[in-house]
Amino acid sequence: MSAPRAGRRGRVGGPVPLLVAKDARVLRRSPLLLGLLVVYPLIVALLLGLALSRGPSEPTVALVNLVPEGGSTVDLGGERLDARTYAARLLEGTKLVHARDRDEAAKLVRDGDAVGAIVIPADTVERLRSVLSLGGEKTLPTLEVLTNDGDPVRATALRNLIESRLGDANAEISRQLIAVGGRYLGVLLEGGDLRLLGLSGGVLGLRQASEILRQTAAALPPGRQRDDVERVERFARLAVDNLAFAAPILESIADPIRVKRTSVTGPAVSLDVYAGAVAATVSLLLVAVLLGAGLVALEREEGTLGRLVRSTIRPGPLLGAKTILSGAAGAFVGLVVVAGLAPFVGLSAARIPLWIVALLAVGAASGALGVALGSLATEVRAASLLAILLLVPIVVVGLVPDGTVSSLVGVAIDGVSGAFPFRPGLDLVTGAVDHGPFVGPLVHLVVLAIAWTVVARIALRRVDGAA
Amino acid sequence: MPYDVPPAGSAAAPVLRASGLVRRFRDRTALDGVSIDAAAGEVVAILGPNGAGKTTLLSLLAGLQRPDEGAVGLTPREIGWIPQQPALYRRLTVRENLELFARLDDVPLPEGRVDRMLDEADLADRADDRVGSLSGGGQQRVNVAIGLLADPPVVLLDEPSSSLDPRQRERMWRFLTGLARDGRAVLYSTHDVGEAERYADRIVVLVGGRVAFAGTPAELAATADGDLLRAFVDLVEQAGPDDDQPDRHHPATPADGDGAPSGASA
Repeated sequence: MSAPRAGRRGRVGGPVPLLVAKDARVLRRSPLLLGLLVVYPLIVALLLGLALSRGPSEPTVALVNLVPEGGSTVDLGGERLDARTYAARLLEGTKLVHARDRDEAAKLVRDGDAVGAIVIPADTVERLRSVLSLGGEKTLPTLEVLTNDGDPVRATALRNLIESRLGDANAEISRQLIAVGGRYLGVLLEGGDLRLLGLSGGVLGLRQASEILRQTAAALPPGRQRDDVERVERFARLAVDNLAFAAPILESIADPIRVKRTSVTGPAVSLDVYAGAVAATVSLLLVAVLLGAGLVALEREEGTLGRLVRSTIRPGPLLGAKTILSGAAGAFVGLVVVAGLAPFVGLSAARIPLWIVALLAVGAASGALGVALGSLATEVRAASLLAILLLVPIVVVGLVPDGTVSSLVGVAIDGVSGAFPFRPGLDLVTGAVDHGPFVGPLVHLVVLAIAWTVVARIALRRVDGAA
Repeated sequence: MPYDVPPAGSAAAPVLRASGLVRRFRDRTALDGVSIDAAAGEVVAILGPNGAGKTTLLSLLAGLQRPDEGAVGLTPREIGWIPQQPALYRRLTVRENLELFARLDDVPLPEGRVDRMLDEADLADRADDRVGSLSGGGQQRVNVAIGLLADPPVVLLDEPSSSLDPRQRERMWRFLTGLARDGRAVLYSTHDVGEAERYADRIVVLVGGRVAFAGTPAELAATADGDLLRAFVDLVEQAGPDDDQPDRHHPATPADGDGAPSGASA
């Protein structure tokens, strides 16, 4: 008994290095597994990076500046405010693209090439001058922000961004106006040369006026009294006139530039509703894909696939039956999720038929995807693993907002998302429970259901040689 | 012997005739021009080493795969197929399995046929038990019963006794030879020479995807002074080196595979 123990002890490094070497050799001879182990985490990390690090903090925003060349500056008490600088400050932290006109900007937003657009109307500077001057119309300058509310996360992110940037920019103008107002009040108090908003001239100042009045009261010389009174009267008139235009200045200090928000896709879906749609779609997708994959793989695992294929049922209807069951189960789970959330997010019961149509369509496409995966796998566990490995990045990619990544990556993401049922499914469910596109995503899902069934049929033939 | 010797039926007209079967997997020819036939009441053993193409031949005869060349004279529905591993739904009962496949196969009066198969396979008392709760032999009997639901004139069995203990094996062979007595042609694959000698009227030896011998066990044994095992080994060795290629298309069939051609011809 002791000899074998001594032999084991005498082996260099013991059994652990042997087992490690064995496993390394097995891995090296399993290139598919090795590739999966190495490549998959990298892909998921890359996708998460795209989804999180390049999120709404640096979105692409289109800018349309309709202010005429050379007319973009406003004189604020000797300081010149350039509307272009103002716009640039408004869009700090965004990737800026310039559009020629409002229509082009709206198209960029509608197509998802920009998360939103800011339109600076041609009369912006004129209106700002008007507000800061004595005469003319007192309508505040108003920028127009175009958003694509088809994606509530993106729309909310843009709204927050614009509000934040606008607050910063307005605060900057307010600071300048307050400084001007301070100088103006100083002139009124001490007297001197007034150069403000197109006015110029010597101003006595309240302090001097006070002194004059005091001297006048003390001396009371009848001859000069008239002159002094006239001077005081002029000062008082000037003070009254300028207090009149001080009111709109002070009014504009708080919020000198306004924003009008326009959605190019109709009103926004609330984030609560959107979150509910995401929950329902993800639940449905997981159930339908895993069930579809498992049902087909189970046939193969139990050896019954060949027997079924030999019977009167052909592979097409066989796969169709699996798709129907898994899709219906997924749709049922999705319906439970939507119905459970409905009271909390205020969904309308009148749209229940649309919910059912949408969930069945997403279920059909998801079930077909699952059946295709099951046709590729040889056993239930492998099919389930394959489904999970695929679904995680698909969902992550599907949640990357348009316009938050470079156009090339965006095209790749759109292509990948378009090949799987998550993103069109999310669009359809959102449209069904609240509002948004319906027919387009519905057709997309029907096409996906057919395409994945064809893939399943081919995979089944290749793996099993089914006649 | 504890089993019934099947009657010789080679003189009768063949009910199964397949000719010139070729099956390729990419650049590998698993079956190269194989022709085979079987008469009513005849038991035919398809014998061969691992990788000879036995399972591929049965798959083509059963209609599980399509041949690249050649033809099978019967439709899949006229052939009862009994795979090596029981192809059953283990979570369904014995009766539920039989009823499902009877309906899928469009068997007339399925309830009556199911009852009859339960009796014939000695499964009537286990009809409402889940298949997963049966022994290996019990599952194999269900497997066979499903293959016979449509009352086919030809029955194909892929290594039917490989997973059974001796008692179960004997019981199953008694059942299968009874099928031949009833007038069915029974073809089965095996690499067990003794089993072929005991139960088969005729032996077809496949080597490297080609027929290396076709005749009675006695005819083959006569080539080695009456020793069938030595005759079989000699035949395989004459045909070429052992081609023990793993079978990508039937990985769950350890005893067989699709052999590459090695020069043997029919």
